[in-house]
Order: sequence, then structure tokens, then C-alpha cells
Amino acid sequence: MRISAEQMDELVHTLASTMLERDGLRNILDTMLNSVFILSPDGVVIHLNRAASQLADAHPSELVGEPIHHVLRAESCWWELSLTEILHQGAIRNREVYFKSRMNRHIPTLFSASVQRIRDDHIAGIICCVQDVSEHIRLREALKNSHDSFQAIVHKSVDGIIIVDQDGMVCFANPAAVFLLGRNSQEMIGMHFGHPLIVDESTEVDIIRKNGDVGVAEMRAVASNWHGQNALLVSLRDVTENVRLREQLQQLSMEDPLTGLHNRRSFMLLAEQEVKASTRTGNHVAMIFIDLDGMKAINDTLGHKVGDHALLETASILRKVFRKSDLLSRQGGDEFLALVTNKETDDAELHNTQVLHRLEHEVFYRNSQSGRLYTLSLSIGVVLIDPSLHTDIEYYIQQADIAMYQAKKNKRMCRSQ
Amino acid sequence: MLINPDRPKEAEYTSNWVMCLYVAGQTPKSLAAIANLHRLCNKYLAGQFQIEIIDLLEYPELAEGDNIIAVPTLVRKRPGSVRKIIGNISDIERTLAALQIDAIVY
Repeated sequence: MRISAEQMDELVHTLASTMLERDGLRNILDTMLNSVFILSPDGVVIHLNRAASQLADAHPSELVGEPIHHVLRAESCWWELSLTEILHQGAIRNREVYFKSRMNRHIPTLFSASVQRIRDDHIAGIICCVQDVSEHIRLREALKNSHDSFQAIVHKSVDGIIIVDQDGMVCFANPAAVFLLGRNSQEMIGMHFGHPLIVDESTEVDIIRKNGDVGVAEMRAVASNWHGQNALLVSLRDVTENVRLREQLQQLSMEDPLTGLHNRRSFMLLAEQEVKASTRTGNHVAMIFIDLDGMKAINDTLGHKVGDHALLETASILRKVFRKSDLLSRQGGDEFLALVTNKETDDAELHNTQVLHRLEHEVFYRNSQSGRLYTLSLSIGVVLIDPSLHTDIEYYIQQADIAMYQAKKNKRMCRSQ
Repeated sequence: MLINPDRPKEAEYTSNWVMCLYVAGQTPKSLAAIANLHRLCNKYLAGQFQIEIIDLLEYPELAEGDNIIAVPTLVRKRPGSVRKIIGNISDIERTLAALQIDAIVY
């Protein structure tokens, strides 16, 4: 039976309606989130689902029978151009089209359409699927903004940031890392950095710059992701200056700033340990109090600069005469202390006597050299430490002080006689 | 302590385990790392290890050649592929795991 084109269209409409009803296709279409328009071959809306009517901002009854390009308005000729393509290729997929709804909402969409044929030579209709991608685009923009912000933060960060892949290779280095390590980013990328031993905790490491300079960095590695692969984000904070200051402070807190000998605090600490250890080792320990005579007179008549010189000279004599293993300190003013340790097997008394002789000799020698305005004189008091009686360092310092004063007095008596 | 500028070539390594520790100077930190490595090897790899210590202050050119950015860095050269770990190796458990000593020895 031969039928006309009009009859065929009518048949298709009837068939489509019947199928929609019979298979519950209408219900299925209505549950879909994407908008579906069923069009006649000339682009008139025959049926649309609920999402489609919401997209177009109109009731379905206002839209059925309307040409699709009146329902979904876009730049001129979009439908003519799309139709040509649809008819030529049979379908188009995910074209980005900005539609304007009846309420003049601008809706970014992905537009797909396919031709439905009954026979090879006859088009029954066109099914269009329109996906509202407003939310995707919003998220994409937000993601891009967040990515841009992340990039900006990483780029401007004062901390060096490098990303290391699972093989320990550097995938990324920010400008601060490039600066910190003294290598350019091309040299950094692909470099075998290795694996930080400790993750999620800070650790101090020495950093080796390309020119061989060594700095100190606080390194912290955290698990991260780089292009979908597990990676480590390693941040390096330059703490070279802080560490240098810390070490200086540490040293200052242990040292007498003028002479570089131990200060009172560190001497007490170390002497206490030494005396405690002597109970175990059997070593003989002696406390020697050394006082620089006439210090006040030197300061008053020759000035503090010469006074400092006299203290430095005394420290230099002590360094020369005592062993490196002995503890030497300036307690303050013109008072010095030495803690001398002799092994159990040594003749401690002999050694201490020798030390006193050497001190006397060294002072004599220096005084015999011309070139300074004062005469150096030291008063010395020695006490042997017996940890079985006392372990209190202060007690022995006091005893050595008394012995020193006695020596000073004797010296004065000798001089006055 | 072995500070070895004339490094053996790959073929000259005779032990199953070859460790190379990079340090910067004879600082207390470096000395602690060296002592820790010896302790670890003696305990877990007795008789089958070789240790190389490279002081990068003495041989700075080796930092560039061996891609050393931070120290202490410990490189396991043998067995298996090269494995480089960075940081304080005083934590024996972590170091063993990072060097995969458990997996290889036992």
C-alpha cells in the first residue's frame, strides 16, 4: 500500500503516542533529569518530558506544536545548522549550546539529537536530549578559581614546595624551592629527590645548594596527589638564620662572653656531673680558685679596656697551663675556677703542684716581657674534692675561695715583711 | 668511619647490602647519623653490608652528581634498585621499613 507523506507523519505521531503510552515511556522520560524533546522531522515539538518543560520555563501545553527553535532560543540559525548536520550525520552529540528559556534564563547545555527512521528513506522524527550543565560550569569555574588560588598560594609561598612522585622524582617545584635550593626549575624537575623518612611530622635537614652552600630547612612531607597519582608534597622552610641564632644563643648561655671560658652556669652544671662521675670512676678531682690580684686598681688607673686585657691574658694563661679535659670558667669579675680531674692511678697531689708551678712560671714569664702597663698577679686556692663527704659544688667553691684568700693574705704578709 | 672519595665502582661492591650515607660536615647530627647507621647494619645486616660515608663539605661535587638536595640522605645501592631516604635515621623501625630490610632479609 502506498501512502502519502502526510499520512506517514500521522502514522508516526500515532505510533509514537501509542508507544509512549503502551511502554510507559512517558513515565520513564519524566523521571529523567535530562530534558528530552521528541520532534517531528521538520523540528516541531511533539512531546517533551518534565525536565524539558522546566528547562524551557513553560507548561508542556504551551510548547507542544511549537518549533524547537522557538522553545529553545539560541544564536540565529542554530537549529537550521544543527538540523542540516543531524540529517547529514544521523546524530550530533554533546554540542555546547547556550539556550535562552522563555523566561530569558541563559542556560548552558550539552545538546544531542538523533534522527529516528522508520524506513531507510523515511524520517519518523528527531529525539533531542538537552543536558543543563549550569551546575557543572559553576563547579568547573569554582574549581578553576580554586586551582588558580592554589597555584597563586603555592607560587607566592615563602616556603619551598616540591612534589615528589612514588619513585622519589621531583614533579614540581615552586619558585621558593628553586631559590632555596639554588637550582632552576628545569634542573629540579625529574631530579631524584628520594623519600622523606618521616611523613606528617617536621624534621630538620641540612640543605645543599647547587653552589655547595649548606643551609638548614625544616622539612615536612604530607601525602598528596599529582595528576591522579599518589605523591608527597614536601615543604621546606629555610631556618638557617634561626638555627645559627639558636646555636649562638646556646653558646652564649654556656660561655663567658669576654674570655670564651665556661660561664658560672655551665661550669656548675658540668662540675656537678664530673664530681658525681668521680664516685664511680675513682678519679681525683680538685677545685682551684684563681683570683686576678689588683683588678680594681687596673680598672681604676688604666681603664676598663686594659682591665679586659688583663682578664683575657689570665684566661689565656689558664688555657695554656691546664689540660683540655679540665673545666675552666670565669665566675665573674676577677674570679676564675678550674676543676681538675686526675685518674685514680695518677699522683693527683703531684699533678696539682705541677699545675701551680706552671701557673707561677707562666705569670712570671709574661711579666718579664715588656709592652704592658700592669703586672699580672694571681692568688690561688686549691681544695681536693671528696664526694664521699660532700657532693655540693658550692661547698668546694667556698672552701677553695677561703684557701685563695689565705694565699692572698700570705702574699701580702710576705710583701709587707 | 669510612670517608671515601675514591668510590668503588658498581662492580667492585662485594657485599649484599651497600649503603651510602651523605652528611654535611662532622657535626653532632652527622656523627649521630653515622653511628645510627652502623648500629642498624650491625644489628640487622651483620657481616653482609658495606657502608660509604660521603661528607659533602669535603666533596661538594658529589652532591650534584648524586642528586643530593638534603642531608642526612641514606642511599641503599644494593640490593635491588637504588632507594634514597632523607632525614634523621635515629628511628630504627622507620628506617628498616624505608630500606625494606624486613622485606628483603626475612
